[in-house]
Amino acid sequence: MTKSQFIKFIIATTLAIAALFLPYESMGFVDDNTLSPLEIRVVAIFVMAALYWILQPFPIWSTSMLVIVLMILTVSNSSLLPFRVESYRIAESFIMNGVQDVNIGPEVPVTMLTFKSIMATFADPIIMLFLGGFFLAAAATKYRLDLNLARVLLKPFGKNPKVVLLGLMVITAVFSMFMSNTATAAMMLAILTPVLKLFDAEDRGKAAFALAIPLGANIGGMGTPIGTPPNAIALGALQNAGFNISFGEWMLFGVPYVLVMMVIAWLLLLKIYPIKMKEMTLKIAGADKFDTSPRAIIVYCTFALCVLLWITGKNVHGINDNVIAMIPMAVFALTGVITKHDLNDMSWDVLWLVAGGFALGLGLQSTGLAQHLINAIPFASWSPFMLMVGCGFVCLFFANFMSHTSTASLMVPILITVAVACKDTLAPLGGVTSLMVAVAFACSLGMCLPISTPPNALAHATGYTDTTGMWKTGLILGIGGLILSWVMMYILSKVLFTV
Amino acid sequence: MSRNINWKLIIKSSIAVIAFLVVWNLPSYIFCIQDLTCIEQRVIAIFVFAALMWLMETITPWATSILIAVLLLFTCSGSCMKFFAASHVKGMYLGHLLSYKGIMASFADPVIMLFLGGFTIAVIAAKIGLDMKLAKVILKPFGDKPKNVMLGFILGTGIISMFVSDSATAALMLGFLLPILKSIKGDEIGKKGLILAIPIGANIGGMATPIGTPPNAIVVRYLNDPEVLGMSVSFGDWTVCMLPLSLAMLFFGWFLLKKLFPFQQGHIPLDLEKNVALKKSEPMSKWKIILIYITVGMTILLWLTDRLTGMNANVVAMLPIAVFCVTGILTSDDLAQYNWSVLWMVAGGIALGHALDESGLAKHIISNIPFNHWHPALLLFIPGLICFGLSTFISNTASAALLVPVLSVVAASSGETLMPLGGAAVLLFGLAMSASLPMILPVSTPSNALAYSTNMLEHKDIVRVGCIIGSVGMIVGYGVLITLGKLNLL
Repeated sequence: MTKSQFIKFIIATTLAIAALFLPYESMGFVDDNTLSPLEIRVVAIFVMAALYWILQPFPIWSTSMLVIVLMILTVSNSSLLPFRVESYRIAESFIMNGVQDVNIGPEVPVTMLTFKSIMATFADPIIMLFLGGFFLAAAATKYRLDLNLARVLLKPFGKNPKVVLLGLMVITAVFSMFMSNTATAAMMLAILTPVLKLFDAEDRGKAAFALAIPLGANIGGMGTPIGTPPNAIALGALQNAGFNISFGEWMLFGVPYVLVMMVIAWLLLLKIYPIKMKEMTLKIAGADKFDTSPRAIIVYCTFALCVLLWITGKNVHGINDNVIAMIPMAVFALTGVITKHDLNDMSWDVLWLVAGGFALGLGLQSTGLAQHLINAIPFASWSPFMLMVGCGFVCLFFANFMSHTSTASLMVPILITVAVACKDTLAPLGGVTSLMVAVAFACSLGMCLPISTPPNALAHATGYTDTTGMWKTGLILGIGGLILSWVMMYILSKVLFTV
Repeated sequence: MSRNINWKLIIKSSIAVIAFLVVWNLPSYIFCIQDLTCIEQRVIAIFVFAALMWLMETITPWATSILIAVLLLFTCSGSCMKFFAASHVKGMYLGHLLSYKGIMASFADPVIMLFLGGFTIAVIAAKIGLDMKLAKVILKPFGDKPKNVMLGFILGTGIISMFVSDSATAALMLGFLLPILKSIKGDEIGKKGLILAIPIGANIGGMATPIGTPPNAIVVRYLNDPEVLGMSVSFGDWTVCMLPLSLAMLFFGWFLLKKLFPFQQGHIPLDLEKNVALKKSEPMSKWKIILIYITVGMTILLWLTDRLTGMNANVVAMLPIAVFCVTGILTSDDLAQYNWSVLWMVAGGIALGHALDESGLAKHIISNIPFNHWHPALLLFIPGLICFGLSTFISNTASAALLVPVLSVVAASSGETLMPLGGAAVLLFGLAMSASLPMILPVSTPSNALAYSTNMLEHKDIVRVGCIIGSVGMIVGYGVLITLGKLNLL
């Protein structure tokens, strides 16, 4: 641990501990709204998680693990004995001589969370969705489906570098709609190497190509519910709150949005990094023809089946998206496409990271803290416009400094409760769905810095990009994307969703 | 890709698939269960399929497990295909759809967390060579004679598991055993014996005390319940009866392993460091190494005292994960060394148990068996065999929890008829024993799965040892129990 990490760790920990001793009674948490000891502990864990995720004294997935373990140790029914509570006294407010004061009121019972439910966040249905995605991605890479598709798909874009650039972005976006952004970026950057070699030493167009990949991956991820964790998290929260968006419905607005953003990004790249080269011919090594071994065909069929089932949706066949994601798991495990070694190489840390967010959400919901917070803050009196814009910018800000997934896992559980509570006032702006989709997109739009997202980091690592270009495109696309998402959701809500 | 047709695989999988389809489509009256629902019949079919696939090792066990989860999700869950959710099929009621979240949660069951904790400690201990040092300390009292080391592990595991959860004991002892195994060069068949010593010790040791394993605690509760049998079986009473049996079985296990997996080498090399090249990653700072010692020590201590601290063994296992994550000792690369496929294999068994329970099938079947009308000998042995069979596939706690409540009532009402065979207590003690003995498959108990996770065992090794231990244990066990019962010692 470096010195700066240590200082961050001390600051974050101190603030989290301080959260345990705040005078919640004088902050309006009185009477029925009094926080139980469990809720105060969850507040402290939440503060800790937020600060650790922003300041990153540890890797973000470690923080998630810490969140889960701390929750089990302090608020579960298998916690350390001193942490067990059966009841607490509510703070009774009264007014004496015109001054409000609190008194110790009657005792009310409190139930500890079950440790099983906290552990079960490691196998939340959304996690299964991730795993299914990992299986698909691993199988596609193994049987060169990715390379072959890239070869076939880049061909139509001809020899004009500008068009090839757009083609590359579109392909990246399409892949990242179904695969993890990071995996897509890594794969596409690998394909890009032969393309980059075609450039002269001083041609700045190289940077445009290198930056096109993370832009394509980040933007493309917004296109489907499984494209990137924030979407899945927002979708999970929406489903739990009773608002159903199917895979297909999401794509119905996601894909056009991605296309518009892609064109903006393309124009921006051409503006910032003018390409001098006149003509280029593409050759991708190792991909001459599609693999036609039986296993490769199984991979193609499974891929197609999943996409088909995801697109048709639960209403047609009755299977929800998370369960569909388990088809490739079963098929690939059965046929030996994915072996146990491949299983070990999956990004388990990403899954743990996501699980930490779910556990935090569970803590907020099950202890009743979320409800108490909402009761204490007069969200309902906020204008819905302010809610939309405020939430968007807060998410965008956080997403630039910490992982998109942790931003979403932090904001979504709170905002969904707020949104459901203000359902009626939000209705004119597109309702709960609108707000949550805008939040999910805002979480995905943070891409100003190399640390903002793994694809950015990967592109930065190639050495072809510069931070100025990343910063400029990131900022413009971030704010532009936010506005675009509000406008689009507003229009769509009139047509597509019942509010 | 070889084009050779694997006939063995085809035959095995067709047997399983045909059995599955037959059970699925049988007319429901064949099962002799009143008001059998569609979901319940499907769960039976999936159970039969899973049992055949695991027993014959048709495909790698973790793939079977995922298949089970997917089958359950697609045919019995709230998110099943629309086709399967029709409310009446062939005049049968659909029954209670399982929650798909519950099935998925099998992949993060508390037992899985215990595995994760065990894997974490093993990976970290190997990283700093702590395991080697521990191995040295352990080898000292037993010398370097393989059979003595094996006896040490069987007895050590057995004795610890009398007081600590079986799985935690197995995770712990396997951590000590692995470095010793690593120091043995070549294809030493004796390695398998050493590994199998752990599950044998953990499963059988657990029988000895009422707190050794949850089935015992369940049986004692019903034996002492004044409304059921109203006996007063104390900790001491149980231990006096079961400890000798358990010790005898542990020694038998030792002889068996010596026989089946004889060591070629006369001694286990003691200079461990020379034989094993430590992975030279970045050197770890002093405070981190101290922290690892403290954390591992604390975890073991908390495992041993889980009844005092209130934290169960599964929760304790998560402590080292958190500590090592936060201090950066455990990196995301280390996660790739975990044996994820074994975790998923275990999850399949948990999912199956979950389905049996949540669909109400298990209770439904047991309440439909006319135990009361049976001959005393049948009444004594058949429940034991059912319990044995059930806990071969699902957790032994779950099987005991299913059978004991029903059978304790039966035992209480037919105490007279059971007298010639030792009385009602024999029946219940027998159930506890038959819940602990099954260790035929890698999925049978967490300790078996942990042993299998070393990648040094083959499926058939476990099956062979498990069958012998199981059958001998059942025969000897019932013999001893009946004798004790007749002497009025129970």
